[in-house]
Amino acid sequence: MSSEGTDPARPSIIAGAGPVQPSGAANPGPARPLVDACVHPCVREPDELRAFMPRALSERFFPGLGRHFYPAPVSEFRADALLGGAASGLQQNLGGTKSSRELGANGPGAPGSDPATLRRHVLEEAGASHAVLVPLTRGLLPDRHVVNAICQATNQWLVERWLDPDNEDGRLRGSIRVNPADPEHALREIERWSGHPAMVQVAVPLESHAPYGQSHFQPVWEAAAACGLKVAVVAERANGVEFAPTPRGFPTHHIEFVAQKPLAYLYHLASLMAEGVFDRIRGLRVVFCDGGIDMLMPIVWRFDAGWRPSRSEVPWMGSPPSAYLAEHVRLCSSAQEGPADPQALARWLEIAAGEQLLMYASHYPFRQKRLADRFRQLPDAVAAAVLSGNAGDTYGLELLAAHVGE
Amino acid sequence: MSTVTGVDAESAEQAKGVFERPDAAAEGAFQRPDAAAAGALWRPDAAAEGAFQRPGAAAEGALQRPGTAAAGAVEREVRLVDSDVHPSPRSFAELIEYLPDRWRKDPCLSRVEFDHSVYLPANQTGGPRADSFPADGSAAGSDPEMLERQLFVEAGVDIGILLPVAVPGMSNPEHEAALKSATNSWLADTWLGSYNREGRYRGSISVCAGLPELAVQEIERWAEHPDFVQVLIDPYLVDPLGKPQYRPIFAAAERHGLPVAVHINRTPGPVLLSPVGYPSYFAEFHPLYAMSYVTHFVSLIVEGAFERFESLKVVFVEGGVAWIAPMMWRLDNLYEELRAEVPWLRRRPSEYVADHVRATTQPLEETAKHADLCDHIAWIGSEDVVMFSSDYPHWDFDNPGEVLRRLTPEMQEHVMARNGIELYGLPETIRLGDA
Amino acid sequence: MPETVRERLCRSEGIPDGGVRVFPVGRFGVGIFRRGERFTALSNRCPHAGARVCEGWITGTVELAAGEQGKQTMVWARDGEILRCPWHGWEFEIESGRTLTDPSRRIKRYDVHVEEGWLYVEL
Repeated sequence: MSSEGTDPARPSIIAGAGPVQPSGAANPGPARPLVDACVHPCVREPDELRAFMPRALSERFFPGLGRHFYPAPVSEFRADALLGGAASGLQQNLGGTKSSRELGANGPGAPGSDPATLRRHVLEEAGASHAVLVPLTRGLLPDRHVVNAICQATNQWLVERWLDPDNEDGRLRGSIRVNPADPEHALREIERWSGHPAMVQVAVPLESHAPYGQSHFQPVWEAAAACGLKVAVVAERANGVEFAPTPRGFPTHHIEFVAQKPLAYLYHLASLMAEGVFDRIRGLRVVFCDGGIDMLMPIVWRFDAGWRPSRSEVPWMGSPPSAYLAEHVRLCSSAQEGPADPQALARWLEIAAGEQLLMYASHYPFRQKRLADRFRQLPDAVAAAVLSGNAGDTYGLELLAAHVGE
Repeated sequence: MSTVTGVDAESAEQAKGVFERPDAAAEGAFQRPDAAAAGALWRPDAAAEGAFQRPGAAAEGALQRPGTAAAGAVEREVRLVDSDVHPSPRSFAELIEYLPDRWRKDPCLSRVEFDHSVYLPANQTGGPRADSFPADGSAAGSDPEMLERQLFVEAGVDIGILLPVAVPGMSNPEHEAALKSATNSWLADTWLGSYNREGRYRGSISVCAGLPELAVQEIERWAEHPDFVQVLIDPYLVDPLGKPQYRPIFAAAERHGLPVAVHINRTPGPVLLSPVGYPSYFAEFHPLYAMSYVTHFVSLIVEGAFERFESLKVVFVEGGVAWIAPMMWRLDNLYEELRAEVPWLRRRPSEYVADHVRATTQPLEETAKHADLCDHIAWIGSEDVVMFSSDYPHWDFDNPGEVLRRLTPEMQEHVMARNGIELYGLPETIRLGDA
Repeated sequence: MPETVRERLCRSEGIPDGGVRVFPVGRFGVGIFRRGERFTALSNRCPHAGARVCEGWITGTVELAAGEQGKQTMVWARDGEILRCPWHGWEFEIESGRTLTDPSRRIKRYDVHVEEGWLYVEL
């Protein structure tokens, strides 16, 4: 347990590990447990997944990871997450499709692809008690058989590579990837993995051809809730046949894309509320992994105002939209959101119901500013809830004390 | 409706509505413009050398309007500017008179339905306030006497900025441009002409942004008209507004010192597609209007529109105000890492907002605590950005008294009047004729 | 508590059955609603945004009911019992003045009664 911080000028030993005090603060406060609610384990190289696919589909073409349409002008990865190779080369590699299956354990690999390194970065150094692994798939593809095969292979890979070996302490938790556009297949995957002790949620893409409240998705949400699994909605880092990232088409620049892409969750949220999904499935808990709590209230306030006049259009909605949030919705944090000023941050999170809704996430191996440090400066109750309490409750984790790297 | 109103009309006290002012009673008697003034309709073709004249304006100052010189006129400080008022033609027939023959005489092309909304509120009128329909069954917002009574007398508005939205986006941008051009001619003749008895209306030049060349022509056609104070475009475009194809529109607007207002309209079809498909319900669709403005806001800032057009102002109408500060933070946070992608920006993204962005209040976000909304407004970091709007005569009309109540005292004057006066160059006082 | 003022409005048959009539009494006017021999007096001011609420629609609303195969279905219900505001369309139960979406928000109600065929309201 760290008790550092008595000297406000002294930096924490390791980035993000210890409590950092606002300048001038007298009381260091307790070190806080941390849960990392969204970490992306990655394949070592593009074809790793093929080994887990049935032969009939493993030879098929599918795009690699990478946002080819909106390439980032700087590496999106934490520099130290790269394993033996230049950032640019590896990013390219992630998007490739070469069919080599020759992978040495110590060979070059993509960021986030080595369990020991990920554990060291996320658990030991950053001090997270637990991390929730949300593997990425390849976005919306036109052929559902390929999407289903990718989901199936990803789940098998996650269990064999990440959740079963060297995870006796259970600090890595997993997500079952399903294709919600093919509910029958999704139900089979949920049935197959829901009994695995490390699986805590079902994960679906943020990208979709229909908002998630619509009725054809409902069996998937029902199955997840029935198994006590949360439903995580996560933006893919691949381009397929998704719609434009904004309601007004395709913006030009990466910065416009990344500023708005996560906000598509608002359409799913409005849909889940308006279609009465939260009224019908009381146990449904939806986690939006890409952040966006900054735009939650601005839209929900509008929805609250509009719901009263429109109640008869959606008579199954038993409560004003804002009333569903605490019971059914959680959001991961993102370094994109919120004011820089610590006082404004505290006030903003109060308005945004951060204490109820927000869960710290690093999005490792993607680069993020040191959000945990900022949250540690918040008033005690909010800091505790955001850093670990909300995620601990959501996923039923027994928290270990904060870990500080050696 | 089975309402029977009481024997006597409501007392004067009631008629004032909640935004009460001591001299409201003086406004009660609405008078039609006199025949002479109504006859001298302003038309662009009639204006010699572009020297626009208001009917009867003679040599008087900008405030001079027909009838205002009458004995007993009352001068009043402008305390309430409404940045979003929707006058309408009585029917499509009234508008079509202004269409060029090519469109007007074609029996197919001239038949455009006013209302082809896909998502409609459940309030049974299909959009307008139920009490805003004239007794003869014509369109809401089409009767000048009724509009004056409900907007000026009951809501207490001093000056209304008119945004006609009868013409939504169309597949053929030339057709849309022709209808919008007709809308401008109609507005100039009516609400900015014979109906503008006290000079309390200002208008918007409707243009089809999908066809910038015609949009620029249309801006040039009206820019010198003293009562057209902004350019109006639909947000339902296939591309964000910062993209290069729209630059001629902003250049023309800037050249003439006209803000560009963006107001939602009722275009059907693919422009309603969200990033994740089509919503099912109006209740679900309505709160997300704001997201189109988010995209345009981001695009204009990031693509450098405000570097290129240093005095340009863009007004987001009917998209709410609470999203602005969060989007400013979002862009600033990303800019720290991604500045090199957009090197033409010489300021942090958020720093363009105070000088270049305006947003109107209606429908004001309904927060449980007023302070939650006020803090979101305060975080914009400038008191110049937010302007009051009522959206009269639409169903989700915001009553100025209710809006006022939810703002901090420091915000009230800026929001209710000052920012509109500054942006549109409005007079500080108006003269109410009671001849 | 301030004393109430009693106002005589009209003969009770002056209110159409199933309808409303608005009288210019009190600060905002009062709507007298009639269903059969039952009269209800509501202020003519919407608690939401101040519209003259009694000039809206007397209507019903949509509710959920048990449908086939255990599924719920939408039905038209409470015809004539609901007042929908002419502006934003908030739905109010005429009997109580309460909104259907938030029972804590209601139109101000007044006592109304009939004596010797005359309607009186207590303001």
